[in-house]
Amino acid sequence: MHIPDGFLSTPVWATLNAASLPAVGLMARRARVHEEDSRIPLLGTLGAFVFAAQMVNFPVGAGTSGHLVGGTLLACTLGPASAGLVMTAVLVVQAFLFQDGGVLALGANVVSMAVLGVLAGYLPYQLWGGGRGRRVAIFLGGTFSVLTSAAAALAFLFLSGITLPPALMRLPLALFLVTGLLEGLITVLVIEAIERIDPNWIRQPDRSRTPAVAFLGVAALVLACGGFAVASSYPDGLTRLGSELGLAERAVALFSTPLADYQATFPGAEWLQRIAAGIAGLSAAFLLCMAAGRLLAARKRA
Amino acid sequence: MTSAAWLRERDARAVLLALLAILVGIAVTPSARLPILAVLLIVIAVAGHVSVGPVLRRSAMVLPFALFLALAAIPARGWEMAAVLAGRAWISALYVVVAVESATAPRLFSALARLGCPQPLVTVLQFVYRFVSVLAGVASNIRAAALARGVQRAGRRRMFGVAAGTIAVLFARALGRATRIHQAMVARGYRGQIPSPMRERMRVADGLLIIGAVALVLTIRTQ
Repeated sequence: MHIPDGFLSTPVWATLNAASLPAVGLMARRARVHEEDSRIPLLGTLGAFVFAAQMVNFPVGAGTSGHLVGGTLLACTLGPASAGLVMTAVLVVQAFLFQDGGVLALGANVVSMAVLGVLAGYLPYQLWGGGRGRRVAIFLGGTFSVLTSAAAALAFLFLSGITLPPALMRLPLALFLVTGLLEGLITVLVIEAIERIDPNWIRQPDRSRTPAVAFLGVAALVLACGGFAVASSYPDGLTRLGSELGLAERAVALFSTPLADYQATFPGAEWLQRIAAGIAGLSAAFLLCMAAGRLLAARKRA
Repeated sequence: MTSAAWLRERDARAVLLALLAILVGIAVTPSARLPILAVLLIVIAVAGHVSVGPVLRRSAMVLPFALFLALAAIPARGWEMAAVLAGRAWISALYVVVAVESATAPRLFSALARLGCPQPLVTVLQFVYRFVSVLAGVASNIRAAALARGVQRAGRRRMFGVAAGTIAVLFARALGRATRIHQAMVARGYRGQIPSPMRERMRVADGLLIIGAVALVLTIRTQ
């Protein structure tokens, strides 16, 4: 789902472009560290392969056909950082040469497809790709990759004030679900076919990393996105005490923020506003902790 | 010097920066003033001797998805706003096509590197651009061979497997080609960076192009 120019509001495209710059820088740095010099032409050729593979259609039913998206396949062969870099290059070429996605919206498309899509596609493979559930892990990766990219693109459009009525929303959601399931299935079949040619071409999940961090990350994301659905609607103890003592009425807000009361201020359904606030809060906390951790580590090294 | 030659001789970095300024202008300009940017585009295309047919055809590729999104936005934003959204998408695509036509894709990718884009990304971009048509041809040959073997008569389930096998063979050929390309490049002195097709230098006219684009956008926005 390539967002064209003109649909995202200025704060949204500007923020996402700013967010995509360090992400692309990090992917490029990791690709340079992990890949030998000889592998950089390989990455480019595999980017061209993604384009060519998208020409191979398969029947879906009702007179329609589908094609491979490729994020999970690249992540399973090259690793997430190199796959993200290749997907970024594919998105740049699509925006400039094929008018598939906008140039100003490039940051949004990179974040949704090259960063979130590739990570969501690789995470199940990293967690369960080494054992018996390998096929299921690859299938889930392909499915999650498409669904995550689509959900992110829809969220960026919602944040820009482009809201779809619930009746109309079912159409893209059904389409994305079918596309996701097909991506999962074709990715499993392609990876198995590649392994029949040469098993060494598929990268094995990195066993040196503990899955605990990934589990915690997924749990935090699930809680931030869906926790509000099971949360109590009663106020916490301090708020209750404040309201019983009459302090709440006298409280004055010095400034308002777009995430006040754990609810993002953009037009749309309340659940989407809560999910957006949850993800924004989680991202802010993660970035702050990472920055603090790096600072402490740098001081320790010095 | 003709106006077409003037436009084509501009440093690709200047073209990219002017394009960015105009795209930002399209995004932030009130809808009533968008026609000014459309008229300016026509002037640039005529002055640059850009072929109108291919530009329109290539820019129209943005329309299916843009129109779908615009139609979906009608209930919330109304017909007029939906038309403006699709219009912004199309005018932006037209400017991108004219910029790529004027500066050419390899020069624009080299310009990205000189503007600070990470070198591995630029190298990957250049390879994608160079080999996309080559591998598309390979995919087309594999497909023709499968059709010649009567694969279209197979059931849907079998077709799925054939598609997966085709992609796997394409992957194997892409890997083989990448290895041969790298060996040939090393033999020709490749040291991790593809040289720019031409040595470009920012001139006064390039600065004027950027300043002109920014000034135009500011004028349209603030008037």
